[in-house]
Order: sequence, then structure tokens, then C-alpha cells
Amino acid sequence: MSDEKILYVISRAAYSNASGQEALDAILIGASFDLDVSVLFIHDGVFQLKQGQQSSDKGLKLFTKTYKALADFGVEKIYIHDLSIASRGLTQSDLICTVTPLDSLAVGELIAQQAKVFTF
Amino acid sequence: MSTLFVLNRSWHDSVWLFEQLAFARPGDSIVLIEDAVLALQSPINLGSFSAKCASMKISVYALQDDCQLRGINNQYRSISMIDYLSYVNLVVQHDKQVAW
Repeated sequence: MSDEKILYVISRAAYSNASGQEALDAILIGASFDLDVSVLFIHDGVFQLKQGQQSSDKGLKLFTKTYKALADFGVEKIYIHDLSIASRGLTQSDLICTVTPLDSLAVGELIAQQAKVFTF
Repeated sequence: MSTLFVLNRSWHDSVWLFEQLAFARPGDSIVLIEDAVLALQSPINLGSFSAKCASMKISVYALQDDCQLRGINNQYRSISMIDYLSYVNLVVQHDKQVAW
């Protein structure tokens, strides 16, 4: 694994534009280049991990399911901002996968450690 | 490793703005662009925000063009109005950007 630390920040909910799908694509590309990848869900981005997402439109892919499988692609550092989930009436048990909660100060530390940060 | 935090969304209650203080480190900067400049018009006084930024050695800027376009006046002396050239200089001066 390279020393280059890259953080992908997901700060918007999933389906109103392409940014959610683009974030996932970018994460998978970063992982395939063996970079030291971390992912942070913050603000409305936490809704991307909410359980119970359903689509009646066959053309609309529920790409967020892939987040459950990120570890298989070598992305093991997945974080969520604890205040963002709490302030949206969610708890860890509402999420599709287990992620590491971080308080605001820990989010600041995570950002400070990175060489590059990509926000979606 | 300094970080430039770029905010472009309106936060009606300014919570998001205040939260940047937990994320930022001394030497970092915060720039308000697009709808984020609406925070300058917030009924919540940003005086305590500005004071905290000053004590943490975090600089705060707002993009002048975006303020003018929205009819927003900056009432805070500690928040500097900048043009696009200064904005580009800030991007160059910091090691990385977090735009959210």
C-alpha cells in the first residue's frame, strides 16, 4: 500500500444527482491504485448508508449497496460523523453496514492526516 | 499541512459553519462562496464564531462577488472580503482543500 493518504468525503444524500455514484466510482479507482484510502460519511451523506432503500424504477441502480462490500476492495477505513447521524434522527442500527463513528474533533484529525481530500 | 475549507452551501441555522471550528486546525482557512455567504446575513450573530476563529488562528474569508450578487453586506470586520485572485492565492497557499 502506498503512503499517500487519500480521504473521500461523502456529504450529500444519494439520488438527486450523480455525485453519489461518482463518489463510489472514485473510491473504487483509488483503492485499485493501492492508495491508503479512507471514506467519511458526513452531513446529509450519512443518508447514503440508510437501510431500506428501494427503487421502483428498474433503470435506477441502488449503488449504495456497494458500500457494504468496500472491504472486499481493500477499503477498510470507513468512518461516519456521529453528530451528523444523531442530528438526523438516525443511529448506527439504521445503517446498512458497520462503520466507525468519529466525533467532530476526530474528523478534524482525520482531515489533517490526509495528503488529499475529495468531497462529493 | 494546512487545509482550506471551502463552504458553498447555505446553512439556515449556521450549525454547519460553527462545526467547521471542530474540523479546522490553527493555520487553516475558511472561505465562504456561493450560498454560504448567506451566513453573513444570519440572525445568529457570528461574533463568537469570528472570535473563536481568531483565537484558533483560523482565517475566514468571503467571496466579494458572491456577496454583492446576493445583496449581502459583511458586518464582520474579522471576515475578509476577497476577490477571485485572492481566492486562487489561498488555494495555492494551502496544502489541500476540503470543499463541502
